[in-house]
Amino acid sequence: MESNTTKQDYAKGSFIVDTQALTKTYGDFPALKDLELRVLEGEVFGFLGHNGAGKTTTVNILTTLLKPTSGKATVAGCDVVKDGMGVRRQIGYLPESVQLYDGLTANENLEYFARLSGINKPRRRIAEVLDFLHVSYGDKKVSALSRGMRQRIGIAQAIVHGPRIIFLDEPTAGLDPFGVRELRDIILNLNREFGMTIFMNTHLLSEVMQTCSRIGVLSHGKLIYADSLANTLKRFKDEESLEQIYLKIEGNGNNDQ
Amino acid sequence: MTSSYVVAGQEIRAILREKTFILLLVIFIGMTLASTYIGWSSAHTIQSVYDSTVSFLMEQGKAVPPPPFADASHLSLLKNMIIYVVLIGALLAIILGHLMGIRDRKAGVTRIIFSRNITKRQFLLGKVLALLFVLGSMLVVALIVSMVSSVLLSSINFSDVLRITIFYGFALVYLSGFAFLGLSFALTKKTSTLALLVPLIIWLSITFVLPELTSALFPTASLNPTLPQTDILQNPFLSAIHTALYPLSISEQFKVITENILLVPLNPTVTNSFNYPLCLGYLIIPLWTILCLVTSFTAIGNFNQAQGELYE
Repeated sequence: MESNTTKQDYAKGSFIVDTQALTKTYGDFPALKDLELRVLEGEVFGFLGHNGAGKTTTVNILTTLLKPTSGKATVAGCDVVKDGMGVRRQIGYLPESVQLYDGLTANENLEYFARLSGINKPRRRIAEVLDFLHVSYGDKKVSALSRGMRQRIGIAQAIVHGPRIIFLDEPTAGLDPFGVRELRDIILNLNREFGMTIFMNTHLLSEVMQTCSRIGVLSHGKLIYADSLANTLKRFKDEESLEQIYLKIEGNGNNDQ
Repeated sequence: MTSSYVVAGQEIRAILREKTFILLLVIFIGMTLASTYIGWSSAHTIQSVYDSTVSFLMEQGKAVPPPPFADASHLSLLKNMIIYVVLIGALLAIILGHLMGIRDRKAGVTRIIFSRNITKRQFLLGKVLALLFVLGSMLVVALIVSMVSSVLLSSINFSDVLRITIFYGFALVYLSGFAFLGLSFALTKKTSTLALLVPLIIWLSITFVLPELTSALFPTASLNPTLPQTDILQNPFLSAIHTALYPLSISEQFKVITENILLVPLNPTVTNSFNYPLCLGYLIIPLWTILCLVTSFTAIGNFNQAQGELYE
């Protein structure tokens, strides 16, 4: 994809995330080094990597929470530095460990976040989203909700404004197997029914297998692998599991460095 | 701007659920009510004693001293409000600013907020609007309480009503500075304890420490409210301290200005010997508030959206 792609080129099938030589350093520590990452619109992208690889830093930059040290990144056709508001209008974000206002009800939380996204009368929209997510506890205070329930509310706030792409940072962390399965169903439904692009940081390789259409592997700030899941399984057909494939990719990537 | 209004609305709803704030608010309004009564009660007592004395002296055929409140304004009943604003009001304002600034960080939602259609400045503007609204509403209630109690206990005219209104308007400017201070540190400090402690220390310094280095340099006057007759300010070091710090002693500036507004006889302990103009306070107090507001905007400019949560 050419680096001077215009907004008009981001029709369905185009890259919705495009980074070029994206670098982020904290003092002398390089968290990201010349990241060249592209995500097609409409896919479920699994972003893998060891702890401290730079996955959350990448997501923070793509969601405009952090400015890169150098390089360029565009999300949905908008530059994350020059047109941050343009990016924010089109993204949803679920941080690791869902945080909400404990003293408010789920509906009150969602209403606030929806209004911040520019939805003036959000109640009907919130009702639709909660219905889609099979949530019936909108009037309960967040402090009374379980981890899985809070996760659903977290996803609700990420999608209430109908974004083109949602960024999920370790969405399965702390969930039991039922919660993980429910989350998987939600992600797949969002992708299939609404064509929403999903960018997911995760460690749970079993979920990557069942959810993602494409994966990228980050190691020590560098993207060492990116391909469709189908191609990956073909290429590494001798490996027994995705875990072994991942470890092999990581090993190869570290050797190259 | 719409996003700012959304933030402001949310903050106003949230603060009305904060028990600490509600308690302090009730105390402040209660003391407002008590202030007028205390002022009236003490004046009434003194007047009663004077009337008894006059009767006795007239029976004795002796000269009668002038009435103690011949030149006193009806508004002097409200003089205690000046102290309540400086003490309770400023504390309330700091806590208000602190609660508004810390809430999102405590909840851990700053990343969700700043991934939405809102810039940091719009976010802060919403907080500032909410602060001004809540403080303003609190002072409007206090204003109404003062007016009603003044009408019931004394006779006030339109000029008095105007003066009371100006007093509370000026109190809003004064208190806003402390609120912005509480907000600034709530946005920057790593723990909520430190975020509250620092503005409290600043408040203590302004309210108690600075006056010790200015008007309290007249020790006899602080004990006995007569004109200062000491030579203490012949000491060049103390003179220099007094000269340098008096304009910065904003609590004293506030007292002088508001005593002037409410036509309260100036307390000699806060009179300066260096003839700073009375209007100095009209300049210093708004400058103080603007400085605190600028501090808030600087704080939000440095706010790390990706790591905004507290270290607790």
